[in-house]
Amino acid sequence: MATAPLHVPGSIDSAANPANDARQWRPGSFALRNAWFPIAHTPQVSAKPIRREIHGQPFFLWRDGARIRAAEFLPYEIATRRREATELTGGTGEYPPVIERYGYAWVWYGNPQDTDVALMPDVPYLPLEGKLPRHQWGTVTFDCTYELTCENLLDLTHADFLHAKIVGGSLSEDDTVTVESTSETVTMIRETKGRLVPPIMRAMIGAKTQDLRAVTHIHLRSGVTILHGQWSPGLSVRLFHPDLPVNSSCTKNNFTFNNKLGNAVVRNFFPLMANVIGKQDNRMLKVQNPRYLEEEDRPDFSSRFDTGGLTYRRRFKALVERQKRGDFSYLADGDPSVDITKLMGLERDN
Amino acid sequence: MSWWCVAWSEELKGKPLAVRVGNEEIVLFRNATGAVCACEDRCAHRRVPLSMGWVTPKGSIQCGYHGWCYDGQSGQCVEIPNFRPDEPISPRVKVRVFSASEINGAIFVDVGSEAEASLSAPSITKLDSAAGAVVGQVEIPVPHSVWIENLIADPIAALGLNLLKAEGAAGQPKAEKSSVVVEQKVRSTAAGDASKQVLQLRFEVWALTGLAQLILRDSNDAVQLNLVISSLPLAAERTVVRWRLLDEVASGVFTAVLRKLVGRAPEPIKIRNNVVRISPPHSAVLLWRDLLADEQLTAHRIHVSEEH
Repeated sequence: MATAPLHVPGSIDSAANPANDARQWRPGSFALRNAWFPIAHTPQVSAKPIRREIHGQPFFLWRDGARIRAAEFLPYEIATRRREATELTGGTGEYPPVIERYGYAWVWYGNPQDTDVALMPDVPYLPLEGKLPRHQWGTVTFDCTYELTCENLLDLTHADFLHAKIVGGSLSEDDTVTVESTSETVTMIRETKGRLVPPIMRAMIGAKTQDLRAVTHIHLRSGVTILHGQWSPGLSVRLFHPDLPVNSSCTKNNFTFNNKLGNAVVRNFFPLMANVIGKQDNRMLKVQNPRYLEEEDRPDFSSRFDTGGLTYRRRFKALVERQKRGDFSYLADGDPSVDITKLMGLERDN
Repeated sequence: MSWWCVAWSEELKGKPLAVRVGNEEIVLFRNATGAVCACEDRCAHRRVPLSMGWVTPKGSIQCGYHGWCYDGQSGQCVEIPNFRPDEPISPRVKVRVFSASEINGAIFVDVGSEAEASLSAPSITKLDSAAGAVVGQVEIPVPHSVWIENLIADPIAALGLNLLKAEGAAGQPKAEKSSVVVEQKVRSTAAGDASKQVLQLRFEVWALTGLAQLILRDSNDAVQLNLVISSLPLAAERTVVRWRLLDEVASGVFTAVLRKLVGRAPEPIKIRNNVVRISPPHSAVLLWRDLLADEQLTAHRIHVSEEH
């Protein structure tokens, strides 16, 4: 894996850093393709069709016996509307076979002839067959394009302000960020020491300060995000956070928690906070969105905590350029199925 | 640049306040000394409105997303949370600032092309920060210029002050520096006001921004009504009209009734239904258009988008 510059001292002057040049950063303007997207939790798919979207493209999903099928139209319309079918179904109206894994229905958004099961992302902490308790998974909607939610997850300093009451404040003895990336993924690792425990957690954790090692691993094409936060003392928060690009003003996060260690009450309490945290994030994301989609060319300024976000922009733009040239392939460093257990600081659970 | 009356003093307390003039989104707040600061309402980091944040104990404004702090006078980023104490912040990290001035209870911000020198702020008569002043606002789907022409042509009709009736013909409008002044005698028709007294109305509109002041005096020269109207363009077809009825006027049945009329919630002044296209042009409107056409003033106009 290539490693991005670490610990950039001080604030980064945007003009001197082309990767942070807003004039070239237009989120929501290009639909990356040829990837697997976890479009729905499998318990949501039944014989009755449900409608989902990826980059504005409709996906109707329904269970047909043991397997899940996906089409551009309702099942009874496929025959009559086949002429309207797009290249994403090769003109047939039906998408490539749906894969059920980790509790999700995964669909292929891309050229049907390139469909490859080997390109499924590795999620080391979710059971292959899913079937986790109902309170551990759910859906949060963000009113923005998915690149912004991904950037949000790559700079976790926002949590110190937006989510301070749940995950703790900004004061800590030491706070460093390192970033690793490939042509297909960006990984941000934040390590803080002596962080204040939020008051509501103090009694259950039995300490005033904690150390935190938080890892965010993002797949550029699909927005699939795998998070691991190790609080010491405390929980190992394992959050699968796929940011599904519905369109340029809507991202659906079909999340699943599978927390380990720590106090059992806190462990089970955490997933219940997803909607609260999601609303707090969305308050910012929805006002950011028009300013990125419509605003004039003005660069952003960044700090060393944004190294992950800037690397994301650079890698994302490179991928867009390749796909604009008609190259949808995966480079040698970009296998999405590679084992990330060690990178995430985990033991394999599945 | 030109001075726009964007808020009243009592509206700006501990929390930041978002205002808009044309395409400019501005956040107002008070720094540690209580001085009014006006900055672009956009964090230089990730573009979130600073008005969604708060003012720190040191008097800088802090973004509510990642916590970057800005000095209200210079616009310089002065703090990035989680930075070590000795960690430098580039002097280039800053937000745009606007000159702000607080004059007798009104907050003015100098908005427009930075290349032009500022015009002086309008001098409003007796705009004391009076406790109990009646304030309000309404957004109307009308271009700013059309609304101002309505105001100039017939302020009583435009503002829906139906308790007043014009007495005789209006006086000849006068151009005073950069404003248009209309004087006219009016009669009170307020129920319960037995005197039906004749009052002297003085209406002044500053040419560029449309800030207006309506003063009514009785036969003893006592002020019966002092109404300041600030009109801010939001988009090509949208204007927000804000008003402040001042409290330091003479008491009396007429004033009490008028205050009740102006203070009626939720839309105290029935502006929306009273706006018409002025045709043929009124003499005061022509005078206003002449003032606007003045090259010096034209250079100070602001940009307004089609829609927001």
